[in-house]
Amino acid sequence: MESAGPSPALRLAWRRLAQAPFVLAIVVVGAFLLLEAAPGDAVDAYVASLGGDAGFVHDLRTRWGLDRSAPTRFLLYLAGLATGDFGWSVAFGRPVLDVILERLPVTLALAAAATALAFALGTGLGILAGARPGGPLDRLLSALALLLNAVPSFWLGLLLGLLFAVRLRWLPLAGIETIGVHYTGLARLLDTARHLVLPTLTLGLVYAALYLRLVRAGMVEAWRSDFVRAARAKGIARRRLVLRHVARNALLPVVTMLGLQSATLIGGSVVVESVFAVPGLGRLAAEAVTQRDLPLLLGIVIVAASLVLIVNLVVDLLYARLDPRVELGHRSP
Amino acid sequence: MSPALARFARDRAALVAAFLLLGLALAAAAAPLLWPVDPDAVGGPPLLRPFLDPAHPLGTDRLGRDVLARLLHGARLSLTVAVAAAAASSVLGAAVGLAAGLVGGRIDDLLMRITDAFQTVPGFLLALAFVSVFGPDARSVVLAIAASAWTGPARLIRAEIVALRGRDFVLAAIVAGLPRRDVALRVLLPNALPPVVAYAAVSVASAVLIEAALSFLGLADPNRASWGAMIAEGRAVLVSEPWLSILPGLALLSTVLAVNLVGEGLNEALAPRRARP
Repeated sequence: MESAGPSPALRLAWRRLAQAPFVLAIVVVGAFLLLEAAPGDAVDAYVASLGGDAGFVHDLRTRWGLDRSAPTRFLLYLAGLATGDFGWSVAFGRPVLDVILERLPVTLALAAAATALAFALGTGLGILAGARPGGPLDRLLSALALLLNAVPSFWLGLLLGLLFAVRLRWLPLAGIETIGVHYTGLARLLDTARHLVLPTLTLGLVYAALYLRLVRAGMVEAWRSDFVRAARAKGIARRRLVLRHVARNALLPVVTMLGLQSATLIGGSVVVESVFAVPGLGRLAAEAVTQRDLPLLLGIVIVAASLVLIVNLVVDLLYARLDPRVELGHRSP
Repeated sequence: MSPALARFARDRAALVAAFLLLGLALAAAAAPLLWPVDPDAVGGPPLLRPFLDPAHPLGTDRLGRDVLARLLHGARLSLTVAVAAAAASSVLGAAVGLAAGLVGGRIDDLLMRITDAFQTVPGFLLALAFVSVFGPDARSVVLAIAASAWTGPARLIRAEIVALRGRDFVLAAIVAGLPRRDVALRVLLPNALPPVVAYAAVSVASAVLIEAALSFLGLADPNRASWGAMIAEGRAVLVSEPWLSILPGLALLSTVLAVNLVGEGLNEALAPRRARP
C-alpha cells in the first residue's frame, strides 16, 4: 500500500476551509445589498422602536455614518459585524445579536434532535429497504418515503399535533415549557424535552425520507457492483453481506447529505417552530418578517449561514476520515 | 427525444402522475368555467361540512366561502408561482453554469463561490428576506423562490460543460471553425440540458412547498386564495372542523407527489445509466 499525501477528501476539506471566509463575505455583501434595497434605514427603524425628534434622527444618522456614501456604509456595516454589532432590532428594542443568541440554543437542540432522528430512522429503514430491492418491504418503505418527501412539514405538524396532543393527550401541543409550573433542574429539562417531541418528530420524519431514499439507492447500486458479487460468490451469510458490504458503501453519501441538509433544516425549522410556537431562531425569523424587522432577519441569515458553513466543514473533515479511498478510485463528490 | 419519451411512457407511476398533473393544470386553468363560483364571496352558511350540499360539494370555510372554488383558485396560484419560479431559476442557473463552465479561471471561481454563498444561506430564510424587502405579491414570491433555487441547475450545467468540453464532438466543432458562441449555445448547451430539465421538475415541487409555507405563515399575498393560507385559516377550527386544513393539505401532498414522480421519470428517461466501464 502506498500512501500518497493527504486523501482527495481531506484536500477538498482544506480547500473548503480556505474558501469559507470568501463565501461568508459574499453572504454579508448580499445582506448589505438587501438592507440597502429596503425602504428606510437603521435610524428609521431605531426611531420607530424608541422614538425621537428630527434633530435626534439627524444626529443619529451622522453618528452611525448613514449620511456617508454606500461603500463607507458597507465598511461601517462590516466593522459592526466584526465587533458583534449586528444592528438594532426594531421589534424587540434590543441589539440584534442579543435576541439571536437568546433564541439560538432551542433551535440547535431541535435541529440536532431532528437530525439524529432522521439519520437513525432514515438509514435504518433504508437498509431494510435496500436489503432486498423490489421486495414487499422495499415497496412499502419506498412508497412511505415518497409520501413523506412530498408532505408539507407544517401540515404534517398540525396533523401530528391534532393526533398526539389534542386527541390522545400524550404530548403538549405548543411552546417550550409548561406554563404556570416552575420546574427546576432535571424536571425542567424533561419538561422541555417533552415539548420538543412533536416538533422533532415533524422535522425528523420529513428528512428521514431523504436518508431512506439515499441509502436505498446506494444499496441498489452496491448490489450491482463486482465486490458484492464476489462476496456473494464466496458464500458469505446474507445478513453479513447486507450489513458489511452493501450497506456500508451506501452510508458514505449520507454523511455528505448531513452537511448539505443543514441549510434546509434551518429553513424547515422556521415553519415547524411557528406551528408549535417554539421560541427558536426559525420562529424569530418569521416574527422578524411580520414585524418588518429587516436588521434582525439579515442577522439571522448571517448567523445561519455561518452555522451551515461550520457544519459543512465538520462534515467534510468527518468524510475525509471515513473515506477509505486515498488516491486511486478518486471520484468527485 | 422520442426514445426518451418512450422510456418515460414505460414508467407507469410517472405516466399516471403526469396525467394527474395535466388534469390539475387544466382544472386550475379552466376553474372559472368548470366551477364558476367566486372563491372570495361569502356564498353559504359558514363551516358547512363536505358532501352535504351540492351547492358547496366540499363545504364552506369559517366565513362561508366555497372550499372547492378556493381549492381550484389555490391550484392556479400554486402552479403558476411554482412553474414560474422553476423556469426563472433554471434560466438563471443555466446562464451562470454556462458562463462558469465556459470561461473557467477566476470568473469560474467567483461564480462558484457566489453559488456556494447562496447554498449556505437556508433557502427559506432567503425567501423570507426577499419577501420582506420586495413585498408579499406573487411576483416577489417567484423571485424569492428562484433566488435560492438557481444554484442547483448552475452546478449541474457547469459540471456537464466541464465534462463535455474535452469530448471529441465538441473538439470537432471547434476545429471545424464554429464560432465560440455557436459552440457554446448549439453544441454544449443542448447536450448539457437534460439533467437540468429533470431537475426543473424537482424544483417545481419544492417551489410548491415554499409558496405554501410562505402563505401558511401569512407572508404571501393575503388577498388571493392559496392552499397554504387555507391550511392556516383552518387551523383556528382544527379540532372541530379538521377537514378545512386537511383538504388543502391533501391537494398540496398529491401535487408535490405527482411532480416528484414525473421528475423521477424524466430523470430516468433523459439520463439512462451510462454503461459502466
